[in-house]
Amino acid sequence: MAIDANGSPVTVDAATWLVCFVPGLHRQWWHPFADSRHKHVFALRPLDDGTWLLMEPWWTRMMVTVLTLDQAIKFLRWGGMGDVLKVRERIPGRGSQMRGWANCSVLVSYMLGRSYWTWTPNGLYRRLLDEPDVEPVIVSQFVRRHVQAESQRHSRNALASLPKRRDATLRDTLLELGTGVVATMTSRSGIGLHRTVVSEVVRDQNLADAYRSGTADQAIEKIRKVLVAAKWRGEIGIDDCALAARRFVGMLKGHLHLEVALGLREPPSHGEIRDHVACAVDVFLRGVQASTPSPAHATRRQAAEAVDLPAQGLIREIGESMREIVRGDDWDAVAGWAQAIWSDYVGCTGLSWEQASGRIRRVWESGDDARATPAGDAREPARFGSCRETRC
Amino acid sequence: MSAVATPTPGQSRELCRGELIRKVADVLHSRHADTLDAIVRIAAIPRHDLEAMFEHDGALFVAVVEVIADRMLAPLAERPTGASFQPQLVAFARQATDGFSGLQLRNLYRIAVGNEFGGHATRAEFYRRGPARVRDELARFMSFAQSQGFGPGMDCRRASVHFLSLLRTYWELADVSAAGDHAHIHDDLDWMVAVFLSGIETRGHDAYFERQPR
Repeated sequence: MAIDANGSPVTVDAATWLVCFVPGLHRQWWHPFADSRHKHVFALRPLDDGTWLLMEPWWTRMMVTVLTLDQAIKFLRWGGMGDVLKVRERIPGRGSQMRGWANCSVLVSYMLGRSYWTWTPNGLYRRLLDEPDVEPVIVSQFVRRHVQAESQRHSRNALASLPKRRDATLRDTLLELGTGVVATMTSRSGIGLHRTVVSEVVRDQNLADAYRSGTADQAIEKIRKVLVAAKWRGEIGIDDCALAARRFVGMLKGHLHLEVALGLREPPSHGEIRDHVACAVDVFLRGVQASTPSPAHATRRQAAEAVDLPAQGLIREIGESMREIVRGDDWDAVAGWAQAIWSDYVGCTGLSWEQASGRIRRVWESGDDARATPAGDAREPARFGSCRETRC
Repeated sequence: MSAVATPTPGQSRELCRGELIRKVADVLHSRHADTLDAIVRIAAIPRHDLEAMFEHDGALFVAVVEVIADRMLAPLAERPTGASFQPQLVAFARQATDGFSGLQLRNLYRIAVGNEFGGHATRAEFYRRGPARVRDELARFMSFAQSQGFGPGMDCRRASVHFLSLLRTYWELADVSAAGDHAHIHDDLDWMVAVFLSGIETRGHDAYFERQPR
């Protein structure tokens, strides 16, 4: 068998652990003799798949187990009652099996490959804190950053399944996206993330924003763009694509997500997800294809319909929507919103930015010509979304 | 002069249980009602009363979710006619998404998902008597309409799941703020129900709309 320089069949990179020095959860006879905040020590670290590895020495055994994120957060909150250090383990390390009394601090020190002669959690804490590359961790900030990173990771997984084919139908696109979203949100790590946010948001309201900025918001935004493109192709008749995208993502959850979140069943199989999503897509599409404008949008729609020139119509529509979304003096928001509109148009037509720019300019100029054309002069107006080159 | 009936011990126990359930349901509306302990404390329920009336805290909350489900289902109590089918669904949607229900359900969900109920059996009972019962009753309502020729053109249980999922988008679970802009929600609900009915291919839906003033 081939072995590496440390005598191991595989070479593993040194991992970084969160080492938690904590007060006791139950009163013990020896507590009065220990530091008030550091009566016990354990370590945990995140794994690549969203789960966590816990190493906690008990009186009676060494607990080494894999936790979901919500379970890990409970240990981290316990850590927050004392102190948490971010420590890189050493390989091959300098610990020794000859240390004797194997209490929690000795075992954690040994696991990290340290050779410190200390038998108390507080002693280990002080020795580790003296190391130059060891960092104290503020649990609330760490949890928020971790939730945001996990949410972004889930979002990438969920949205990776967007069909690349230009000729994919709206149904195909929603089916692929929806399957990716449901598979991610009902996965073990997706449910762990969801439970974490639902439980922890009462302590930290920013967690909800960190969570939403990932999977939910990005899925809604992606689906909104798909719907905007379909609307421009004349396939659906909805006014507010952002709201419709939000409703669609809600429909995707069904009772599957609820049952998994309550721990009543295992995550669904791919076939089960596909079947559920296909049904949700069909209901959604039949609804939005047959829909008439909502009363709340009727007034705006009437105003838009009075305009027969496409460029004017688009600009009016953009202008009216913009007034609802951003303040006129908030230029960052205006710029961001304009970029989103531009991006939608490029995404819809498949044109390069330069081609899209030229096309918008031509339509704008044809709008000027049309304004100069006498009334009654029959002319097919150029329409955004009916590009002959792209059939979009 | 009518004699006042003295409650039997069994009736008295039921009254006490009902009173505790009502107190908890009221407190669930509070924004601070985010844990079992907080709810019991805000509702000022003595621990010995709770233990005397319910096997455990989870059992109290299972009873509460049943009461909330009853309230949500009230608009569906009457069998639908062709004319009442959609208005009943709109009334149900309003009941399920108003600020009171939204906060109650959000807090209950948080407690259930946060594993505060304890064992699997309690969570399963919570699901069976809350969300699953609402889904099944809604499916039964749709199924009756279907049998009369004006219901969904698809499997009613699936249609019911989709409708409830749509309604859940009106109260964001990972949010602790008060329920949203309800005037706006109510404007949107009528339209959302109409779109949903098109989506599930409700027979007679088009005829209903032709009669409605736009």
